[in-house]
Amino acid sequence: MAIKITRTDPRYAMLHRSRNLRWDANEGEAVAEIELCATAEQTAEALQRVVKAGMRPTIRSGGHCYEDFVVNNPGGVILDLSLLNTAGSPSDGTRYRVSPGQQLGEVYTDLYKRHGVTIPGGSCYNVGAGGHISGGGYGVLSRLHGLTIDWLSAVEILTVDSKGDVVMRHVDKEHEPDLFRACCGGGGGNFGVITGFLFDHLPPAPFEVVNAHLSWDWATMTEDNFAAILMAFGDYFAKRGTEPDTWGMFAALGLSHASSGRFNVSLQFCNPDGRCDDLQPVEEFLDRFQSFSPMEKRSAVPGDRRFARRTPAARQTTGPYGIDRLLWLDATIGDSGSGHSGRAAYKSSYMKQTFTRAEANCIFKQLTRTVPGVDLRGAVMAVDSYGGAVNKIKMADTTSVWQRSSIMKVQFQQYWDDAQEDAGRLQWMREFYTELYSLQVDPQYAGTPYPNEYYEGCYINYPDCDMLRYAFWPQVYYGTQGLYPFLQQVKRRYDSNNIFHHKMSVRA
Amino acid sequence: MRFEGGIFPGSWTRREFLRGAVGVVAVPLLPSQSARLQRFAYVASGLGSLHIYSLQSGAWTEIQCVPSHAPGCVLLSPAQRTLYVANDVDLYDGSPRGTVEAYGIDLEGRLTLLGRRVLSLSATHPRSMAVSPDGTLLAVAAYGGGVYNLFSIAEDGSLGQRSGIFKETGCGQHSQLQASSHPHTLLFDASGRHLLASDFGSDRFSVFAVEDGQLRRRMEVSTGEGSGPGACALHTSGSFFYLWHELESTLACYGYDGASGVVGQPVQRLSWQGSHGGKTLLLHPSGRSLYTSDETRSVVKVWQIDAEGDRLLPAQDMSLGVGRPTQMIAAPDGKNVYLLSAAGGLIYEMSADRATGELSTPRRVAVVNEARSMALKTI
Repeated sequence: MAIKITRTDPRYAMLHRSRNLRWDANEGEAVAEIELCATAEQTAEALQRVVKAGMRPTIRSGGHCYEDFVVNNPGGVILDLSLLNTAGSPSDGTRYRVSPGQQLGEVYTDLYKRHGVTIPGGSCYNVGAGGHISGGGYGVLSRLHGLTIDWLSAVEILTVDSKGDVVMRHVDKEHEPDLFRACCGGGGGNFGVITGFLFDHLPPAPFEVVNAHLSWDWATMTEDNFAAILMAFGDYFAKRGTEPDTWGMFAALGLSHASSGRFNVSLQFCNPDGRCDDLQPVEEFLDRFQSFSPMEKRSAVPGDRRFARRTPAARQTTGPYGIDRLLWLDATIGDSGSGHSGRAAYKSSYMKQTFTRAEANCIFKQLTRTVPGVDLRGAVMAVDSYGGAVNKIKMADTTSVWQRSSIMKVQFQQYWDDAQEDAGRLQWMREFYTELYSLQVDPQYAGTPYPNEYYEGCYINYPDCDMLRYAFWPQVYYGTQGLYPFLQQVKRRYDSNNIFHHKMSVRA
Repeated sequence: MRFEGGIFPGSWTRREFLRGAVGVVAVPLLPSQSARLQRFAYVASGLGSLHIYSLQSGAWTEIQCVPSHAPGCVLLSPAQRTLYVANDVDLYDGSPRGTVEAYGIDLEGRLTLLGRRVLSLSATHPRSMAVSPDGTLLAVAAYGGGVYNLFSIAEDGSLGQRSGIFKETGCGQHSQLQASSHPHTLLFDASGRHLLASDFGSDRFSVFAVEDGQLRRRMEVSTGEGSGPGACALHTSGSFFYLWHELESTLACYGYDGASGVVGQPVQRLSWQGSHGGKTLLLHPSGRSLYTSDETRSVVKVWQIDAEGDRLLPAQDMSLGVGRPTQMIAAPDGKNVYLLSAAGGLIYEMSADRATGELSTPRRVAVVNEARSMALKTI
């Protein structure tokens, strides 16, 4: 039996809430209970009980959902899979298993120690694998190895049939391939409860990586220099970054609000063979920024959880840049951040081209704009490198991630603690996003990175309910090439009673 | 002012009566005001409006038109001081859910919006509502999402917090019409402790216990594969209810024990050749007649109900000459029956024979485009 946590249980206060404290505002929206499930069988039994009782189940693996899709479930039940975290090989011994309750850091460590392989997953190490992989599973090694779902071979999933009975399914390319494809990036909370991800093959974990970091002082930054830095970054991934010897590079442009003092460029790199013998791509990349006089050149990135601090043993390389060389697992697990609970908001976009001057000017204006009474420290536009192995276009046909032409992926983020700041911060973020994505978008889609020659929409794992104001939001997240109708068909077939739903779930 | 034995006039509850009594004491009715007390009809148009008519001497005069988003069902509170409207939509503020509105009714019969409440996520296309006999709870059935919601009702008639949610599952053998649960009609029994619900999509009739603002399924009855249970009405005795099995064109009478909330087996089934179209059903306030109609036919059938309530005898087949009747309601005094026709938005009035329940020739009294639901206020 799963462990049932009701409102009278002292654990309820901790377990019913979200990491994002914005969703704790209305007690009336809270769940009635939490079911902690440690096995697929327990999960199936709990799910059946919940459905029979007419309650709504929502699913949590790590608890990092950006929106209120899990915790705001009035009178419903959270199926918490954090104890369903069995690592290792499935019983047949021929595959790798990842359980939904495993945290990514545990997945990396386990796969590395047992097999010397990894998944190209995300950089926040206590994110749960369940939600992360369901939406695609993108991370620091994705340019080198693609998305996590590109490697997925099978999924174990619980669905609820049209009569209300729970069904345990094992789906892959041969068995119920439509449901399997939907699970390869269609997004969590849509079709059922995934209790296991199975991989026939996984890429080898790199032996080592290097890190580097540049930053600039906002106080001395001009609009021209800012635009040139952005375009230098984007241009690299539009051109040089398409060549396979650079695919081991993950770089991030962390555009913090000017009130934060500085913004930065950071990278992690390894050669395609997982070593760092040839650092020419790194030096080429860093050389692009020398004429813009970065104030700091070092390896560690304060506060950026995607790049390891220098706490693990590292060997400093020579040359004009402070480049650290670390063993891969040290670099990946060394600084396991993201444990902080606070208030947060997010938006996203995929970019197919480098920044235009108009975009750069807009970003500069918004990041240097002050709003009376609103503290915008903690606001960052994080521009991640994309493409490489992700952009194998044929994967769009066999998975549910259609964005296979982008070179950068943008995540707008804000973090703060005081609820009184909510309105001002959210308003600024919306205005920023709306203005930026009205510059190069057909007027009928203004305010969104609607698919066109510049953009490839948004990432479903960075859901943003602001986008619900647009009737065409499914096309922004799932494209215009028939993926969304396909997912709707799967939804009707496997969840005809819409048991699994949230504000941005696939509409039947 | 005092009433013996806790008996209050008409259908007023003690709480509603006290509200009314306070009003009477504070502002005594003048003769002219008293003269204004009359009948009003509230008609929902699928085009997005509520039409309010004053009914005097058989004439219908529109006195107000209020915009409302896709009103699919209107319902008066027991005291007839509040009108509840279910907005038959699948999206509100970007989220997949419907809404309900509450309107206060002034002495002139006019509406003022008291507030709007969102239904739970996935509760789309609400099409049926029921108010508990004591006027403290509103139940809403979301046909599209297969969900029931329960709201508390405040003293002023406005809707409070959503207290109960029940998510249905199920399907039927008709692959398109019954792909999922579709709650159709809701009724509170006389005690208010049970909510009766037909589910067109899953061929099921359920009784929910209403406890502490929550819904818990008390029992469920299969109405038969492919039956499509729809409109239903509880007999005034509380011991029987009548249920359309829409997909098989069968009218069934079931026994019901209000004390325990248990549904018995059908005691009578009347079947005839019919279509899959929507069907309506109306119990005359006297409890002696039942009226049925079929959306795709132009006939209203009148049934006499025996003294026990469990036997229906055919009394009249009346051709309307118009198609698609969508709702029938009766004046509380039972003198008239009104019928809404989706074809042309026509509203008909028929007088009902006091003894037999038979209907007179229909008389057209109003036209409301895409008329979907009507409520009649008579004080």
